[in-house]
Amino acid sequence: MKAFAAWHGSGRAMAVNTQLLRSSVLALACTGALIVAVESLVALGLLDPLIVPPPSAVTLSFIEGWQSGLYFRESLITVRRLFLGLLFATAVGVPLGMAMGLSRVGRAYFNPIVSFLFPLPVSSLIPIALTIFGLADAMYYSLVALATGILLTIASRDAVVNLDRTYIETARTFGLSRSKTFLKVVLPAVTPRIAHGAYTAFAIGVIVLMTAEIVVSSRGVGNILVLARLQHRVADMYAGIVLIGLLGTSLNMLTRRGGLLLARWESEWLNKQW
Amino acid sequence: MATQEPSCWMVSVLMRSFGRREALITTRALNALGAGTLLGSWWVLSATGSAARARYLPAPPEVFAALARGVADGDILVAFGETLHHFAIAYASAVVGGLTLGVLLGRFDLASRGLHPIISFLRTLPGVAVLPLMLLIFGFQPRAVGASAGFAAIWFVLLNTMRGVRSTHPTVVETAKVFRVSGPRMWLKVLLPSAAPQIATGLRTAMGIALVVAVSSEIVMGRGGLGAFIRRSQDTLQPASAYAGILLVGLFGVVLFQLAQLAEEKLIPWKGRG
Repeated sequence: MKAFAAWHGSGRAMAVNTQLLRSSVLALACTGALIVAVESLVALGLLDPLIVPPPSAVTLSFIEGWQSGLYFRESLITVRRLFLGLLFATAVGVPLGMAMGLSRVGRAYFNPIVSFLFPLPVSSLIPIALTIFGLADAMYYSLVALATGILLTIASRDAVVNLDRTYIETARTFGLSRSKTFLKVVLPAVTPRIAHGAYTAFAIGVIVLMTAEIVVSSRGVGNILVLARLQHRVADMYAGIVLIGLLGTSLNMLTRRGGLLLARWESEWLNKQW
Repeated sequence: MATQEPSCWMVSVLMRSFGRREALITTRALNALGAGTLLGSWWVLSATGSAARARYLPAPPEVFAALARGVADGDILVAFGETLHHFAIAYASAVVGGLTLGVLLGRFDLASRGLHPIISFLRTLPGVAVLPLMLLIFGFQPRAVGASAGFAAIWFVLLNTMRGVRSTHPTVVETAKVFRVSGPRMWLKVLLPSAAPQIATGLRTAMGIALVVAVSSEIVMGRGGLGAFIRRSQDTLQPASAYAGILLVGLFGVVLFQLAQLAEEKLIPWKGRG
């Protein structure tokens, strides 16, 4: 029986693997074809290299950016701004949201404030943040903190409000104290949903930070792009966009992993492919 | 916030001792209290601050006066019209492109697997990061802003349409086939109605993203629209006008969201039932 199960399991894993392999080969081929097509269109003079530079030039510029240490340095600055903002947002937003979820009074009191701040486009606050903080890094992470903090507050509030009442009733039946109910029942039940909220908030935080870096352009990944545009280095600009995309993708994957770790007992939302 | 604690505590005692009707009234009172705290602390902070603070925190009446002034001399209305124009370009292109590509990718599994890495890379790019590229292609035109906002929004329409088309239950399709439904009728009567709720979600999300990225791009470009209006006002030491612009953007977002919700309820009443 055990041997059968093992055989069966490995067979399924292999089938999944071959499918994955086939998809990856297909995807690689498509991406490669696109790059070759653009390269040859530029070489044939059908695309203006001042608007679309050949992929080979972009690749060279990208490699140079890493070798000179510029990309690493600026990425580090951007990531630090992002995480400081998110840290602050979590420290304020999650307890506030959970308090709103647990107490009807808290909810009634804070709801108008949250629902006023929620539809506000945070990137339109950049000019004002600039007047308050100047070019200091605090400007960047306060914007990130505001944008992500509101989303985290709402996610935490809704996670607690939508909690299945049976959990709490059951805990009460077993005579658990209030603090124990919170720690052992409420907290584990809401963590996956809050993690999902954090995942969404993170993506919004990246957008706000990038906008701020491009508008203000004092260091950071966005600044690479602005400088390249101002000096008409088109290939460098494309390379900068590739860097931003790769940074975004890897940070996304990282938070997804983090979320998976926090939400391993309720991971349906992470199983969606895309 | 600490000064509000005693009254909150009192209200919670009151809430426990009264019935449901009274609880509703206390909730309303707490709502008003929360909104009052927000407005009051804004007012107090702006009234007691130094001249430096007045540069980023004008008093509420000043903001409303600036809004009235802007409407009277047409300044803010022109900016609003430009933002509307940018938003319309962005949203129209995102909807048309996203729906077409989404249907195609939903139908042809091979194509969607081949394009997966390209799409998931492009999707993580913040809209503002491709603005320099769009400026290169379109020049300093409204189309450049529209294109970057449309680029940011299109993925939400595309992916939701694709998922929606795929999610039609095979039994439903088979049943329709038994009744000899095929071709355009299959699309109009079976596939699209069952995909509609998911598509609507994508369309609504894309709406918010298109607006936010359009305004952010205007801030970056510094010309045309409410984004540029906000930036210019703040740069020329007219923070009240900047706040008026931010308020208008937020209001527009809320109105759009409400309209989308209304349209959803009217057009696809079956959403949220299954």
